[in-house]
Amino acid sequence: MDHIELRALGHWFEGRSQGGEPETIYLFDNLNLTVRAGRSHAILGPSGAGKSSLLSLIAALERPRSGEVAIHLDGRAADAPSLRRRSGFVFQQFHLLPELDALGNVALPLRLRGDGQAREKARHWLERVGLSARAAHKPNQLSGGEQQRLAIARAFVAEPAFVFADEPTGNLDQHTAAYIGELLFGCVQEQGSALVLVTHSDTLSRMADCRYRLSGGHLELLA
Amino acid sequence: MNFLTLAWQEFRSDLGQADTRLQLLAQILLAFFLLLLSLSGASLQSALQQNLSDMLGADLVLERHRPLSEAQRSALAELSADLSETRLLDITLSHAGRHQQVQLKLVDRHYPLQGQLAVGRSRASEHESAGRGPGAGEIWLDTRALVGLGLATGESLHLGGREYLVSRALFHEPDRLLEGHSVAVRAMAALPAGAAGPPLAGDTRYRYLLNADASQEAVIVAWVQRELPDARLVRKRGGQHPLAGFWQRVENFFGLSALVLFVLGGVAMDLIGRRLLRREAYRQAVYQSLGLSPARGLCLYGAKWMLGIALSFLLAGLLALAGQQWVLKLLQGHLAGALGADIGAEIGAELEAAWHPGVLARTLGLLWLLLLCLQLPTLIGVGRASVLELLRPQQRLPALALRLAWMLTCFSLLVAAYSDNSRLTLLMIGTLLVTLLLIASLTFALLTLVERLTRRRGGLLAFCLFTMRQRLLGKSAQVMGLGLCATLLLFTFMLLRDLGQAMEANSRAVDGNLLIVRATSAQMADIEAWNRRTGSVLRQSRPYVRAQLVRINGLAPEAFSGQPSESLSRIARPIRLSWSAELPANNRLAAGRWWQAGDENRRQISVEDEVMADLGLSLGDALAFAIGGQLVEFTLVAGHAYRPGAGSITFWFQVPPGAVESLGVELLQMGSMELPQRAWSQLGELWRRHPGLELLPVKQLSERFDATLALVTRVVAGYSLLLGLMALLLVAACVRGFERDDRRKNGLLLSLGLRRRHCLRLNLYEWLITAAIAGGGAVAGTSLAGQLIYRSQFHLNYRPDALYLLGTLAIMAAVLCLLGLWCCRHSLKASVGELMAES
Repeated sequence: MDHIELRALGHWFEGRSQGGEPETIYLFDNLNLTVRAGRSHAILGPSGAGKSSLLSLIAALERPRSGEVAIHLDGRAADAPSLRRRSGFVFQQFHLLPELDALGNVALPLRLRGDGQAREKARHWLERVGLSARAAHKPNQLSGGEQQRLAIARAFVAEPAFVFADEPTGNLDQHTAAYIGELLFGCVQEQGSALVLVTHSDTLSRMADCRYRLSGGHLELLA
Repeated sequence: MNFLTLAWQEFRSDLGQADTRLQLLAQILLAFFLLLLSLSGASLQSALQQNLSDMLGADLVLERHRPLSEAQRSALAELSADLSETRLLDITLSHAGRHQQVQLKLVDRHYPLQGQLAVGRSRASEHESAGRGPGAGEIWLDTRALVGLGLATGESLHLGGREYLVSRALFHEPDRLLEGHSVAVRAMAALPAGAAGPPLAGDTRYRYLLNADASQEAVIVAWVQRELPDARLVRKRGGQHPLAGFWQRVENFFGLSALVLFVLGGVAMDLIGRRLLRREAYRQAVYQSLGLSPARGLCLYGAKWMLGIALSFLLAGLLALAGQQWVLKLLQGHLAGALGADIGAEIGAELEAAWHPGVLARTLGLLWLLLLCLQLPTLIGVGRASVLELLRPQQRLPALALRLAWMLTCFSLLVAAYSDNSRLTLLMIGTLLVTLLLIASLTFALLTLVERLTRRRGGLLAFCLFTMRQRLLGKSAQVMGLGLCATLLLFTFMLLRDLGQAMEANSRAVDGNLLIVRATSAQMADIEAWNRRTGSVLRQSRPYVRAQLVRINGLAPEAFSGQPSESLSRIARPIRLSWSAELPANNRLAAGRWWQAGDENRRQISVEDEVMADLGLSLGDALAFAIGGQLVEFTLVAGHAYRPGAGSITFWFQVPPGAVESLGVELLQMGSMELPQRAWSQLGELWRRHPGLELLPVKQLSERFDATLALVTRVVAGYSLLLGLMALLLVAACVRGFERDDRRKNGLLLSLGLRRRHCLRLNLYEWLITAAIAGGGAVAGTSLAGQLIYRSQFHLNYRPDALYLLGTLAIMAAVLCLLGLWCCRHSLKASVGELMAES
């Protein structure tokens, strides 16, 4: 089964104290976690705990200072670029391309892979997230909730093995956030992808199979 | 849909962005300028090559400033299939109180070797072909000479004590090429057999037309190189047109002008590139989050960039082709005037606008490389884009100094490829570098200091300084861009204006109103007697001999110098070699040491400073001159430069007294005279007695200057237009660079209760401070450039016109502030809501 395994992971960065002195800021040390396909994982924690850094390490966007991130795809060890080809992202700020319309944004991952059926598949996903009528609209003509639905469609259109979501409801009202949560977890279930979600929202985290709290440099599994 | 379709779609979408359009416009302007230059140059070169085949009048032409010995002549006749000897003299003809300077060609009975002469029974009659030159006692004059002297065919003319019958009007000679590069009025007479020529003193050019097949030609070329180092040989097969070198230098000069345009274009593209990089890095990060590898992302960006290059090159190419038609039309008109009607018309007819694929490929290849170099920082930035930026926004360091250093390196390489004057290039680049450093330090020091002083004070000005200080790096780039633009514009306009004024003043500030260009000792004695009779005054007189520089450190001058220059072109003909015991009053020592009175060594030479730089000479070099059939070698011990205020006659090459007078060559004089009004009508006396005496009225000289000035003005106007366009583009790039920041700032201020007029005032303060720093740097940079470049390169004393300088600067600053305010007003038209939404 496809999975990502974090072994004895440690991470820190160099900063400056208020007095201007060099200072090492430790985020976490000796952290272990396994992310398996078909399961959803939510990471909670206060601001500044290092949730986004942990997400970037799981997604192999950066290398840990200590420990190891082992990636297994199709029964074999894989590298970071292979993982990236099989991943989808959902961001708090949506990060849609302003010059493309809704259909263009969703079709983009497939077009980058040279898929000849990109537009048809994108239309299907627009329908799935309820935005068929908005296909020709540019992102700035859509509401925040609609933009995030578009971002979810874009993340899933290429059938990823892993989806990483960074505060996907952080910019949305409660009602829209609930709808986006349902949509996100529904898509994960349909696709059989693994989901790693970083959030402040307790409600959203409760929808995940596993819940963790990152605090004081330790990752704790919540019941 | 494939990868390229996506690149094309993105490219089309980007075309809607102002930044992309500005960048394309800068590329188009640069490509247009270089293509226009190269294509026009190639058309002219190809016309010259065609002209060489049609107008040389022989397979080879050998030219020398002294005759061949009988043995040399026999050897040459032996080596060639046919040989014809001609001589050329510049003389002044007089008839019935009228004078006309003409170039007299004396031809033997074999002339012409190839082609036919075109003559007429009168100056208005039909052209007739003639297979031989004039008979003994006859002279043929061109129509301008006939008009100038008030003569008609069938009448007689006295020349050097003999009477000649004007039997034909001369329209065309088939060997016009070598003698047609002037507006000289022409005449032709027979070369007396067995005699040294008619009794005319003057600078005579001995020309030998030769017919030879390829194998004979090779033998002749080797023989001439071995036996006649001071001879000039022009060949029809694979030879170079005499004008080709001149055009090469003109192209090189424009190459240097291109530096200014490229610096402006490069700075504009860099400023735009920084914003494009931000957009592109964001796009690449999104793509990577969608599974695209960084390498593929870079390929996608490369494909888009290449589409932009293709579009700009295509548009620039079409524009350049249209521009080429216009330039060639101008050249046709100019050549007809400058080279004489027939050769001008000949070359003009052969001048056709064409694509010249080789030239096109070379020029575009070079430009592509340069643009790629300029693009490198953006490419590196795009290559380093990562999804991490979407999760955790990172602050990109602009690496301003690195980018600027890289840009300057690129420009230096470009100029090294184009310029023929390394000193001017170095001075220019050095000045720009110092100006940049100065502006950067000024920006940093001023903003930091004034912000600290006003930190505890309220008000819009303090707030303005605070925000400017906060974005110091970005602000420095903007101020440096504008400062550089202002420096280059100010310096170019000032130099063009001063050069024009100096040319005008120079032509009229010669001592006296008549120049003695060439006079023998006997002629000088006669001139002095004539002066006493007419009340004229001899103002200045310097002796010289004619000498041909044939070797520098054992190498031919072209081989030694390696690159074309004005000086190299001039020394292809004999120069005036003068002597003086002491450094002349109108010279100053620029290098080395002038010889002393008791110095035993007579084989020393001083060379004019600029000529030394042009030819690449250094102290200690050995210069060999052919002087009256002897080879004399001098050691370069000094360099001198012209110093105004003590007479205008100066010489490029000067030696100690006694170095050349003893060689037994003809000693000549150069000088100037002041003629009272009544003496002008008696000048004919002198010319009748001495047709070879070369006198040049200063009025005639100033007419030549005026014609040159008119051409320079036309070229300058075209260049200024391009320069102005590029400057506008740079300013637009600078203003737009901070538009988004300004919109955010304005939105914030409006939401805090400030009024629009406050925002406008704040903006005005910011642009005024920016313009003041950039302007201060520009004035300093221009002064530095003036001090360094005026004297060393243009022999001008740098006396800045403060009013002109500040006036021009004030206009530029006003334009900048107005443009900045216009942008601000534009951004303030949006509602607070919109502005806040953008934030």
